[in-house]
Amino acid sequence: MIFQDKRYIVLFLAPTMLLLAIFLLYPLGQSVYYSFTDWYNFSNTKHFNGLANYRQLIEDPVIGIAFKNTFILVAGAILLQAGGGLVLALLTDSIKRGFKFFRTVFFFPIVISGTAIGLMFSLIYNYDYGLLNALMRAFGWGEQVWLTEKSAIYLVLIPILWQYVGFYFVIFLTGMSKIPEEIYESATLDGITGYRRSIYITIPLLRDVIASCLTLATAGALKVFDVVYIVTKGGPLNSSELLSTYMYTKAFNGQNAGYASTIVIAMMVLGIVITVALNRLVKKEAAGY
Amino acid sequence: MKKTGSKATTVLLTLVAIMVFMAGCGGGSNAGEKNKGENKGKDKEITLRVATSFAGSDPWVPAWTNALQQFKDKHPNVKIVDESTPVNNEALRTKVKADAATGNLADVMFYFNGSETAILTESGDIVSWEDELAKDADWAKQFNSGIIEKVKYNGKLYALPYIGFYEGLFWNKTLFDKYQLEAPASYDAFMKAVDTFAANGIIPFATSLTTPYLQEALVLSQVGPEGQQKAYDASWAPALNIFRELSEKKAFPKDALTLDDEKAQALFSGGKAAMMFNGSWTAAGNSKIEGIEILPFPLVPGGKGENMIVSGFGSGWYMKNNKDQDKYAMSLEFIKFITSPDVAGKFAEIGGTYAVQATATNATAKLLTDGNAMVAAAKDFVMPIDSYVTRESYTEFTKGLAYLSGGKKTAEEVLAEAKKLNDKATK
Repeated sequence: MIFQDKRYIVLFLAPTMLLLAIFLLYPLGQSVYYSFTDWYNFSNTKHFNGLANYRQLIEDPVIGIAFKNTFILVAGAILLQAGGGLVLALLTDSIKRGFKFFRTVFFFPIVISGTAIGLMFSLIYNYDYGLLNALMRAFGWGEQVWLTEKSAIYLVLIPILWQYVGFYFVIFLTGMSKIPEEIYESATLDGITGYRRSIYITIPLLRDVIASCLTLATAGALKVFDVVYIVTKGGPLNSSELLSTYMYTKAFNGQNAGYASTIVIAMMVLGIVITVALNRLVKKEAAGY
Repeated sequence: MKKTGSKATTVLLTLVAIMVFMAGCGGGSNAGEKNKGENKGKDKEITLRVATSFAGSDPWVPAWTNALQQFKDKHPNVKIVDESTPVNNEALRTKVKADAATGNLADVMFYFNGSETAILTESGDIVSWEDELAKDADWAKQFNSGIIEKVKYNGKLYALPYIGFYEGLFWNKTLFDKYQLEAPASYDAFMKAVDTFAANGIIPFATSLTTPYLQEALVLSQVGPEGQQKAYDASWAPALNIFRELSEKKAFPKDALTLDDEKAQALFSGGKAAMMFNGSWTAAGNSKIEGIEILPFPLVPGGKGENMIVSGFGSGWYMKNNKDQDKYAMSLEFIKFITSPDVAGKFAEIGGTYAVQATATNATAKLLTDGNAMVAAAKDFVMPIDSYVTRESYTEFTKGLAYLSGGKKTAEEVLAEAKKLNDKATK
């Protein structure tokens, strides 16, 4: 009621709108424009080249690999990050002792930077002096190259999933703390305990939280760059390339900012499509209490 | 009336917000102008921004750091903002190009020449050195005039040549002696060494398949200097097929596809690999290891590049054409200081060949002297392939070789793809 006068709304929103316009909308508009140009070497000269970059995008075999890997990452994020976080939260919520300990332990990887985690895992996978091959040697088994064309994307998935599972775990725990105790008490009187309590009461009542987590996990997966770039740089043979790492390679190693902008637009469209689809899927029947 | 008033207020408030924001942004500039006025005179505080490649794991970092300190001691009124950036992952190229595009070039730069000079000259902010060299004959005569002629761009000298580089075949004599192998001076001796080391569990050749050095050597050896200038010509294919043959002979580390250059160098310097083809910047580290020697890459069968090396002055000192005369003069003084024989001598102790007179010291290691002797004895020199092709095509070419070594692409396909990208960007 205080803000019935629209002037105040405009006043308070103006700084944010201004910053958003300068640092988000303007660069986005520019990226759309650049995606229709051939712009090399970050020079001041660029020429409009119509849909040439978009044709290249369709014909580029690496884009196919990057799309496939991005979907693997999104699926991993949904199932193992958000899903794993939910399972851990359900397990932790039902224990009587050590709740705070588990909450801290599961959340801890979030505070480590992606770069540090990437470096740590690149050392683990290193052929010559990595942890995994040290273990192989200790057990008398032969050393092996871990980051291969087939395995690389799954091996870089491990640190990414490990890092963020705690984030969703904490969100789910917070969601669970909001569910009234009376509902559980009534359920107990009806004889519903253990895992059935989680399936029939907790999860349905967390539907909104789950929807938010799925959106966050999807958006997060589309943004992944640091860990993959540090561990594999998108290789070997582009096998762990994501749209983000390929965009970086094209922009900064290849110095072709026009085509890199086209990849950015593809990333953005993909992000919007997946997020909208997920939201429609999950938010159908929100339960209340 | 009320509606109109509300709209006007909204517009007014938005304008006020924009003005507050702009005022905030402009504050620094006003303050700077004020200081500029206050500090006029001999002791005027000058801030010099310098951007070089002497950063990260670059071997010349200690010499650079010492030189900066000496200059600061000599000129206490000068504040140096060291924006040096490693060349790895094209970080320096990206920084300088972004600076050039936004009109924010550093005052002094040690940066690539060749095709990169074109981008800097587009900005119109770069000094062409002819006038300054003419004004100071003593300084000018310190430079090798032949090299100066070679690094000119469109007939003008924008990048003052300083440290030159060469690429060579480093080999571990201790390991070669252990397996009674001849020095890899000929192709047969090289291939015999590859087979012998591979059979004895020693990595024959330390390289990452993400780096360009070995293919540079193979292409030059195969097609010679003239052929090397024909970007991604089909005549390069036999050289690339040798690359593939070496991969099939297990000449490279098992994890060569994901290994980076620093780790490949560590395999060689740690005695786990017998040979490495790399640049003079790795010579300083290897000179401390007993038994490391250097040779040009051997002539491949039917090749045209015997005793020819990839070498040159790929970088040089650029200076921004500052309107502020004090800043211009101090930038010039800085470059004269860094190219002085004493400072160059300190850089030379670490390695490389020099386009300026460098005070000789006794500290020059044998491997570095041998490297310079190799350059002196070479029949011809060429600049690396990436000095005249587009970055995108070169990145794809290097990546393509990884596909080639795994049998996923043919040499002809790799060359055709790189050529297509190069032609597209240069059309």
